[in-house]
Amino acid sequence: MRDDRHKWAAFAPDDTAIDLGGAQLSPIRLARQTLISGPNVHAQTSLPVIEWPDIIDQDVYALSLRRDRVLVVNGPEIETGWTPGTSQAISDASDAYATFDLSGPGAFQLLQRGAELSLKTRSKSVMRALFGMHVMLYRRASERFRLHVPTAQQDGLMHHIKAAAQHLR
Amino acid sequence: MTSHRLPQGGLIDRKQVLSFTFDGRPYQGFQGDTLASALLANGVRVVGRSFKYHRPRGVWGAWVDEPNAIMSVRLNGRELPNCLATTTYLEDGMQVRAVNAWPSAQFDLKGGLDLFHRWLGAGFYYKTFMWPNWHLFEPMIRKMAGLGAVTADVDDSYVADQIYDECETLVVGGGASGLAAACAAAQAGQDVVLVDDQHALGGGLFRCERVEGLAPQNWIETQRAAIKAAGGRILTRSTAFGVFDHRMLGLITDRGFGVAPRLTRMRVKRVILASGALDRPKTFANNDRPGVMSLIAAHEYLVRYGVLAGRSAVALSNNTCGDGAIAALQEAGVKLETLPLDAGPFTVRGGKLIKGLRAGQKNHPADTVLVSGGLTPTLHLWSHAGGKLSWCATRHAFVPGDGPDWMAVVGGASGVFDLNASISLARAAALGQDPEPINSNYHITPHWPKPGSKGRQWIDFQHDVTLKDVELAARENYVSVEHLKRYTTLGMASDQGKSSNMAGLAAMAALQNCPIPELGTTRFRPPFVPIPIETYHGDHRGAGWHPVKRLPLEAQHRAAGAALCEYGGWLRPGWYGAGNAGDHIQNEAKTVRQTAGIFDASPLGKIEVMGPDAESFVNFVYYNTVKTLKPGHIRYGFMLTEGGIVLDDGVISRLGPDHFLISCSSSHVESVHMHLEAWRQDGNDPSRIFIHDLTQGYATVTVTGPKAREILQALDLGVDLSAKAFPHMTFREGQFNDLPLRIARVSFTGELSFEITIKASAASDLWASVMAAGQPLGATLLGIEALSILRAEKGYIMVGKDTDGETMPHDLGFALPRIKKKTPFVGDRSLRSAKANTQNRKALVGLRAADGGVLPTGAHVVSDAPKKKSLGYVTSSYLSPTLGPLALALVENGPKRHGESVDIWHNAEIKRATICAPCFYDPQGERLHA
Repeated sequence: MRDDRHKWAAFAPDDTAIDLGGAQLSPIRLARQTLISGPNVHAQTSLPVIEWPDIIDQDVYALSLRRDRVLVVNGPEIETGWTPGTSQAISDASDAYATFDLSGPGAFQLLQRGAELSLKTRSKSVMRALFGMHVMLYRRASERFRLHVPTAQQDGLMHHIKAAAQHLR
Repeated sequence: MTSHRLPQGGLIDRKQVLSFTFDGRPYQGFQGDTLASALLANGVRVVGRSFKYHRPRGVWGAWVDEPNAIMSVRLNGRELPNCLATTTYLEDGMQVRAVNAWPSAQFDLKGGLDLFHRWLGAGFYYKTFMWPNWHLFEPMIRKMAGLGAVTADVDDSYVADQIYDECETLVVGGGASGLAAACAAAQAGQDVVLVDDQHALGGGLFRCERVEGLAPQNWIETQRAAIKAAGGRILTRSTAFGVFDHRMLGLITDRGFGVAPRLTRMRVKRVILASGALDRPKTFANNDRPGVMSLIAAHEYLVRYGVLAGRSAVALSNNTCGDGAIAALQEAGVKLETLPLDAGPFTVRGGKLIKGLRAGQKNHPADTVLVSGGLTPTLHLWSHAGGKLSWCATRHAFVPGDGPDWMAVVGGASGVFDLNASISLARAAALGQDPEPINSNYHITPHWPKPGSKGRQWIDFQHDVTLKDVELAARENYVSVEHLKRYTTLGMASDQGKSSNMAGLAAMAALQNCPIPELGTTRFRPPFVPIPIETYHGDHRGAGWHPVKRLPLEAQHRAAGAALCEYGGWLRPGWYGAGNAGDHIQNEAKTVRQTAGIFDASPLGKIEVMGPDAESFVNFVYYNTVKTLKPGHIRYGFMLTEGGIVLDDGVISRLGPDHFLISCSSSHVESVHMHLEAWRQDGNDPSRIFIHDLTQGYATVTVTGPKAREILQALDLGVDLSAKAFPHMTFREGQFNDLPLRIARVSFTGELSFEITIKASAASDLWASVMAAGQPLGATLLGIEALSILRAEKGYIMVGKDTDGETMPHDLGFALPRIKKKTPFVGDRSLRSAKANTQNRKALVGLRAADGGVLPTGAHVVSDAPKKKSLGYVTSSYLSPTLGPLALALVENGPKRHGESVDIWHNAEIKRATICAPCFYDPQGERLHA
């Protein structure tokens, strides 16, 4: 039992972009994030399914998380729960992940401080352990990366990204 | 003091004069100097004191093989201990002190210890200080042991950079072989990184006159430019210090004194190891005196720093590599006499200053003795990677044997000491071609330590291990190389055998009368060179060390004056209000019993299990029967490990025929999720079960207390909240501001409770409405501390606090599923073991102290028998504002002891208490079902 309110600075997420010197971290507001699992989920979607290190510049797409799971970004609102017809488990995860774009010439170097990443090696999943946190990481452009981080851990991730950015300067 | 700096030559920048002090005396050096070269240039001979005998020591090597010159260096208010003088580049203003000497290396008060050397042999402290008690002497010995000391200053700005990287071919070493290999590989289109630990590429090349027809500097520049042009990367001042799993190499980059290094975790496809070779010391009497130096190192000081190791020297060399060094030093003006090896036995004359070398009966005056005992390939990284060492009978050295196919060893590291051959072989290795046979011009005459010979002869300079210590180890049967190392400390610490291994092995081999390779070798371990612990630390500090998870309602809690504490990885309100925490906690608990409390339960697990096999799966992973649970209903249950131990307790809501929601403990979400995923994929059909963890996507606001229903009714959630329509352990779907929400009637306080779950983004509006509805009725904000009191009053457990690594569900009063459940479940078999069914298992009970005081948590419950024995311990203890002091405990055979009076022992104090049922409040559950 210890009052640590002053040890941890107040965290109030906002939409302001942060200049990291060589990179910029911008909060992104998405219309919807839908978690869909099923034995054939990759084949069932008509959306582009993004793997690492694919670049996706569209607004509506699906992220490949594993062989039986995708996260549909900005997709249509669909009924959640188990859908026997398609054998899909569907959950609204819109508030489960905070989303950021990390862009700029130093963005990749910054990410390399938190995870072993290779643009030469393909991966079927965009799931990564970045600074010890489970995130979804993919590319929006050659120097623009998008991160989906569990909502409650966005402050921790931002702390690590800001600290790592000190080494870019 | 005479300057030993030549008027020209070397790689130093003579225009940049740098001032520094050593042991308080001022000196000057140049940009590009190391501490060692600057000290030698200023004629400083004594640079340190030996570890045990405090003998004066001088510089032996010119780079990482230096065992003696270890310094504490202060610059700009920052002090770092144990800096190797030979690898620390000089900076203006450095204050340098030898680590193991006081007041100075030149005049060390502990120097007198050397007089007692006969009693200070290997392992002396194990033998000498056994009586009357080792611990009497241990503090003093520990204080005297060790090199260097960390300052008490806390420096938060000393932060290492850490980065991951990858390449196809990593070339370790920027000498002739490394440069040639890197250049050939890069030009062949490979993604190449060349790593070299010095600031100037070239390795030992500056000791050569011409390389492929060019001056060394020109050849190096040609190679460097070609590597860069072909897209290769070059990291200077970077050392490959270790090889780790799956072809990961650790690189440490020196970023200047006082700046924490950069750690690069480099994943490679292959490594070309061009780490060169080190000169060996020779073993003879007083070979540790200041001024006895590696012949190759003396040459290196000449060509890199323009420094003469001495004015008049005697050279002892048993190999052809020393020949060039002798000629170069003579040409530079050193009066140098070369002695044949058979002129011995040799004894160095003099103390802090050498007077000469006695060879047999003849004295040879000199101020310096330069020795070369042959070259030892630097194979530390090869060994890290699992490579074996193979003895070469012609080079009298260990060379690479069998090893990983992704690592090629070239140049001096492979035992090829001829320049042209090295370059040729390195290029072949880079291109994956078979090497052409070579005719080596390198010759060596073995000259190993001679056991039984006279005089104090040093094997390991850094640890004061002498030939007599090795002889002692042999007499006491520490003949294995591993035992020899640990008994004598030979090859330990920063030296890691670089200068001492071969002499130690040779001495023991001679004592055992066996060839050196039969004795075996120790295995090198990372790191190759000492690296600061900070290297591994980096930004994982302060708020970056295990960052807490943040609630969506944190701002509201702060505004309400919450004391925020870490609970299970989340930053949550412990209580609300400033001042005496105890008063606030008591008030919150009391108000909940009287009116209502509003609690942020957002971290509670929200794990969805869906699919046609969801029902059988949830039934399998829970101890309790779940398949009979109807949609809209909730059931409390235990999740067990395979060992039958309680892993988590929580509630399961059935959202539909194929859809369950598991609400586990807040701090167990990740472990429960992993547990579920593991069982989903093991013994179940993963294509018929899917698990989504949505914990962080939703917030949960709990309203609990007799007036909870009134508060919820004010919110107009579209749900009939009457007890009849909405009984305990059911849930209903409602709406708030047109957003769907779920209300669950579950209780952790024993009061009427509603848990309202809504999307995290809508939590603040819901919270505000609940607060507005609760305030007129006198509701309080409820923190975790008061909640803990309320749940303990009711006898509700917290897994991990009221359970331990042996607690099974029947120890907590839940025995029925074990008896009645017909289908298998995780932990089933373990619950039927003999141990699970013994009568004296520790089970949950309540405790009331006889004196009305609060029992200490952790206190032992002690039997009344004459021979006192712990029966268990207090797991939770509180002062309840409603019921007074109460506690929960795990006690042997607890349920049968209700009413029994026992002793409670804690820190030698004994209290009396009575064992009772763990539920102190509303045992019939009338309030909770209200």
